[in-house]
Amino acid sequence: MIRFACTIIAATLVTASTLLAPAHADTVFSALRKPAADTQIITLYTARHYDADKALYEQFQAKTGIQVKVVQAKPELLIERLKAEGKGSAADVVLMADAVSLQRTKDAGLLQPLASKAINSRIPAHLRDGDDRWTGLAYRARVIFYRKGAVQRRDIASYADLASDKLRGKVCVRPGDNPYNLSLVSALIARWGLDDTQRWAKGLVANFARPPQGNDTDQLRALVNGPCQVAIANSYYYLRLLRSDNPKDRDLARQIGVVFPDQRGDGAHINITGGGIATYAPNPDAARAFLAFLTTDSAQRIFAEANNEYPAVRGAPMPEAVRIFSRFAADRTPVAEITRHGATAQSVVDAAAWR
Amino acid sequence: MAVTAALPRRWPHVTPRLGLGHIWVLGLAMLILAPLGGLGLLAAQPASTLSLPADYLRSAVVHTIAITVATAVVAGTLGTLAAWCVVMYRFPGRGILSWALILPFAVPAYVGAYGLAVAAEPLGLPVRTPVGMVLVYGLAFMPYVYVSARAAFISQSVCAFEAARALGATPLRAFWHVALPMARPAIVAGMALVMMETVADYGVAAYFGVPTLAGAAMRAWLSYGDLASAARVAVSIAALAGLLLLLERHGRGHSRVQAGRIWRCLNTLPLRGAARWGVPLALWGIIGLGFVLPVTVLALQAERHTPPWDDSLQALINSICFAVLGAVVAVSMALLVLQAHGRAAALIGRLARLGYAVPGTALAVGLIGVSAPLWTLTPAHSAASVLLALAILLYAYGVRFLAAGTEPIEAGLHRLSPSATAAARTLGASASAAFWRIRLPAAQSALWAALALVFVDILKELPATLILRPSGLESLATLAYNFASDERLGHAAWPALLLVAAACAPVMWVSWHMDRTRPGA
Repeated sequence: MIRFACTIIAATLVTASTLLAPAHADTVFSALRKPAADTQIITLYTARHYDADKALYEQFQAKTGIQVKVVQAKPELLIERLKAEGKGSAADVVLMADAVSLQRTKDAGLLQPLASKAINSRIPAHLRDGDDRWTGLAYRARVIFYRKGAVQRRDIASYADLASDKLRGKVCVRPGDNPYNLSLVSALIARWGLDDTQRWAKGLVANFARPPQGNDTDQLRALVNGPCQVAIANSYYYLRLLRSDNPKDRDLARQIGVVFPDQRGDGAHINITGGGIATYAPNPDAARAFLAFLTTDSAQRIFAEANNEYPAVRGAPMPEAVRIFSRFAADRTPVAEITRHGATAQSVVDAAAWR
Repeated sequence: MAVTAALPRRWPHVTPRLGLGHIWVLGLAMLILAPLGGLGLLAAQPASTLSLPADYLRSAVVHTIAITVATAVVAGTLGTLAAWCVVMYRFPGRGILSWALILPFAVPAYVGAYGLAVAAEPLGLPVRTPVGMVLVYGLAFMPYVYVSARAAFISQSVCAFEAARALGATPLRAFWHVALPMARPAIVAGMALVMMETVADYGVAAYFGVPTLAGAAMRAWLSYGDLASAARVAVSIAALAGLLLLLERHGRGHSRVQAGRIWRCLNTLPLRGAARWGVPLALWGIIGLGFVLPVTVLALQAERHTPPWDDSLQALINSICFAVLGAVVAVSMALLVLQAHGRAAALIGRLARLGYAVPGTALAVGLIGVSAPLWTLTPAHSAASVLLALAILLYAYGVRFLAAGTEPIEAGLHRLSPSATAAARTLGASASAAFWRIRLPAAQSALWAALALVFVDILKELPATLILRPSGLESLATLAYNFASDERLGHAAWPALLLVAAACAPVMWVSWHMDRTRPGA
């Protein structure tokens, strides 16, 4: 027993001996070391899971000296955690990757007014909350892709066309319960009403080339290598393939065409990445500075450069490949209008058997 | 042949006193059941008006029960037969196979599912179905039964088996009527772990798109925003697990038949004819599908992309730290649960194992509510808040993996002859002294096995770690998940491969150690 206990202690000491790890490393041990006394810190609760965001945090720290600590989790979890932590919460900034989550965060009373002239002047009003609780920072579109030569562009000019008989057995999309699809369905309910959207969903399911499987990139690959001729996916996955280091990915992307639907109608469905200041933020001024920083040209450029999203700020710099695909009419329905149909969207998906 | 007759299950009646042991157990019980209690509180809140449709729930229940039962049968059969072949027969490659058969345990189930899908879909095989799920789970969890059964077969007495053969039984009859019943408690314990893991898993079901109870809970929460319904489904999963544990207790049988105490080398039989090559081929097939295939698929994905070295190394350090500390916590809790004697303690011990069947997400969400007051006590950004988050994470691991800690230790204790304990009690030792100073030291190898198993389980654990990890710290599993959910599977493959590599070492050690546990070996 003594030998056992000694071995356990030895193992724990060996683990602790990784204090030799480099100082900047994000390990348990570096986290336990106290930060320098004059360092300001803000805590960011983010649902964004993109590697690229690290560049944003580093740039902010380099510019202002304020360190950014990150708590990354799924949006619902962040919301539950913020609710549970209440006044004792360490969260300064809350960042969400989709509009439904932003709305849910606001509805739960977890965001305080931004009161930032910088943000108001740079971000267009339709990408900001009407009550000034959150602001959009970047957006992406969920649009229609097709195998070049397989279908006519005019046959897929609208989301409604996806349910038409002409596309029987040609359409591929990821499973219906994915948040991106639920957002799209919510937007369609806001446009067409529940009954028409239900009919559309059933028509869409009847047009599937295969049972929904995989993620958005899988649908794009299947346009070239698989049974699909038409697919629904987010714009940035396509742009990532187009700008990839891997020549095979670039070849693949060149065989795929893009249609931004409903350009003469309600516009293409977009989803917003955005954030706000937590209600009980310990450091609201630094939080405001961080959000304002995210609207500067250099930060907006990172959204586009690293993650192929469209910057919310009009005229912000972006890579050429992203710019080419950024000129389209986007849906300007207020986010609150769309997101209140969130739960209904899931029931529409379930009723249409869109697995 | 010295088979000890069935012993009375309770020691001679002594006036019960509320000793320190009881307070320990009560405190421990409250500690273990707190997250479940938190879940229960959430479940008691009113549900949203728009939530899971009834037919989806029905389908989820049917699928869960069918898949769980089928997986238990598949894993139980594969594990038992593999263990028997490896212990009792000689064939080419037996030495390597005996430890290699545990390797599928080093691969997380969701990685195995991905590997199978990538390999089978170009061939047109429908793998994203309940049958595919049973295959994935059966291969991934077969090591639980294999380890238990092999330990039981290794430590059995040859005498009973030889007596059966001498009386005219064929090896098959002797296996079925003598060896199998003696190993039954261990096999059933292994199958219980398999069933609880299957019921709690969410990753594979989500990836294959098959509705299960764990998936229903996640859907209620994520898509409908209805935490109360999600908690209710999670509580029903725990109830299902309770049922499974009751069945396990029944399946173990009531006799405590001990193997005889005459130890000789196991007389292994050489296989001849078709079996000589057929058996190792079949066993390699299991390892191929359960380990080699997913690892190869990962490696092929990984080689296309530059590895994220910095992130992966940091995640490796964090993973090992979480896993070592978490294993110590879980096994310590397991020991405290096992050392308690008396009926109430036994009941609490059984309840404590329910944690294994509760999906990691549900457990973590239950914990968030319960731990809320604690957050107000620590200043933000201090070492104290990191330690608090770490402590809560380790606590979650302890509750979640308690069963994985208790099963091997209990199986090890079960194999001990009760005469040493009886002697100690006669000489005046208390029951807990007899436990800590006599029984546990004799079952040390089981203790190490438990530590190794929980270590690997924590390395692979994803949902609770995602939720409760201290800010900014990634484990290998969460790093791979973040890349994968960003659809960067090439980058995700690197931390996933590191995970499998880190898990292989304890897995192989457990196997090597088991070979040496046969008394007289």
